[in-house]
Amino acid sequence: MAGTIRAQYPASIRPVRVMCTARVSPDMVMRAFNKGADGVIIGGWHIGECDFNNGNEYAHKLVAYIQDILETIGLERERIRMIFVSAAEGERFRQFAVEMDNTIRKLGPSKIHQFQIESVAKAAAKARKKASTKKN
Amino acid sequence: MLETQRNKNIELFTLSEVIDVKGYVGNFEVEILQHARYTNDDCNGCGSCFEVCPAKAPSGFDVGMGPSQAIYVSFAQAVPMRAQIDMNYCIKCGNCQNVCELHAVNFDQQDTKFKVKVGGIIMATGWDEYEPEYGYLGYGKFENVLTQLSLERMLAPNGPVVGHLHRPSDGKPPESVLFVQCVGSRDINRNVYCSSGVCCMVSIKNAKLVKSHDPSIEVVMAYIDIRAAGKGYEEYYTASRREGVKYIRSKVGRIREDPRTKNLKVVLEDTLSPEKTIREYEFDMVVLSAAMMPSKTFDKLNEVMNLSKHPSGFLKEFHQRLNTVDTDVPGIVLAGACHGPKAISESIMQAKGAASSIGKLLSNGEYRINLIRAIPDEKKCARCNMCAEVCPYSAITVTQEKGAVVDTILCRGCGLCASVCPSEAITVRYYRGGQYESQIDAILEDALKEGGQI
Repeated sequence: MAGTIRAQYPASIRPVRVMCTARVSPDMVMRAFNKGADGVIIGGWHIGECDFNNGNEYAHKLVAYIQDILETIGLERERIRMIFVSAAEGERFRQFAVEMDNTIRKLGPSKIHQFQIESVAKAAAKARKKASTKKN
Repeated sequence: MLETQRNKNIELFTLSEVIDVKGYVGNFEVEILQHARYTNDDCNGCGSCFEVCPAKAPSGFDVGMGPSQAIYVSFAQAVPMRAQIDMNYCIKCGNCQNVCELHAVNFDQQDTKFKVKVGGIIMATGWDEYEPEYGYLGYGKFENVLTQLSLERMLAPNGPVVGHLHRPSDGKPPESVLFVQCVGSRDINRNVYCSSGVCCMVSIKNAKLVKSHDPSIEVVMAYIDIRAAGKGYEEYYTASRREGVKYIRSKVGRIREDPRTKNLKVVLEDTLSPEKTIREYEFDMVVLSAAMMPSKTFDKLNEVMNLSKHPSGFLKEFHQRLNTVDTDVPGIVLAGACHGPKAISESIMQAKGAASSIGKLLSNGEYRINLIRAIPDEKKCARCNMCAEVCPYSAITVTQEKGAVVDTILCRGCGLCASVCPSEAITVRYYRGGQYESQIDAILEDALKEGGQI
């Protein structure tokens, strides 16, 4: 509905579609963090309104589980959040998206992301050096 | 009810409960347990046996307010009009058998089980009155505190006291009656929901009846809101006020009993009066408007049917606005109070919708499903059984030989199995694990580039 009411929310939020939040698995979430995501949002129907009985409750448990993992590996718990929202709550989703974007910006890039960028930068620098020495 | 019995296209099984439901839309197999009635088809409900039965029992139909005996007809308009025996009370003296000219009594009857094949199922399991816990507002503890259902039987012309008002404690007609609304409803400690559409109107009706019995009786209703939202309901409410029913907007916290008179003492705060007057009242009788709750016996059946419930405990409809007749399961529809508190006209309305929905389904001859279904990989499957355990539709069976096997019709494509599988051996068509990996990688492609930020 956010689209239907033309609600603007930050472009940093990229959706990945699931048919039910139950489909979200731990390895999906961790892959995202690994590949440089600074935050993950899981958006599902309100509790009691799941199209498939109670899939969103499983996702809710998953978020708690992932938060523990994040803490263990040195990432902040706030980087993963779940919102229970209905298709009619475009405005509410927009507010949530803005809040999450602000939170993540304050926290800055995740340690994994930073590490990945640094390794990529180092590798690039090394490659440039090799290329220049080769030239010579 | 009689029309149902007479309709040639309807097979009516009474004294029966559904104990198992297997299958899927168009091909359900329902197992029914029919309890023994202990009379055969020859019985015509003449009642000669009632008079000679020495075993007394509380009347189920009269909510225990009046007596019955072990052999009885459930009520005057029962369908089928045949006697039945409650073996909890019967002493098998044989009086009824001796007196029955049609030889219809048979103590040797057994319960029977049988299966029926059906294409669709309409859930109409109804409701039960909330039973306040012992002592809550005096219920069970003080003799003159009743619930609405008990009052109804007292006021009924075919009830145990033929419609005359008698106080349970001394049989005297009450001079003042208090109706307490929202008992067990709109209550964070009990049921949060409102038994809307029913509770207020039943109370107003009964208040009017009491008043019409004897206009000198003081009739007071303690309410939070009067919900008279329905055709003609507001006019009915206004009429009750004209007839002298007093409405005081007050919650009732506690009811005390005068041990000598058995009268009830209640403190009411008239929150609509300018001074918010607080006064203690004394009433001869108190009637509790207890909440409408889903049928108590449904939970046992739902262990097998596994239908989704709304947080209130009532059955969950497909969509709260756009489709309150179907459920998430194709072929199973809802009608009446099992879906939510509902009065007669709304129940019938929904029932017509339910019949129409099933009729449409079955008249098509075929039913289409989409392909978003779970697909297991037998080679990767570790037979750990996690997928079968979490599946909300019991669509997966795991065996040593074949691993996880998914019933494509029972499966609804929710993906829970795919997300819990530790071996990544089961996934969902169009929502495969590999597809997600590619999506995530593609979205975050720029994040890892130099100076990466999406």
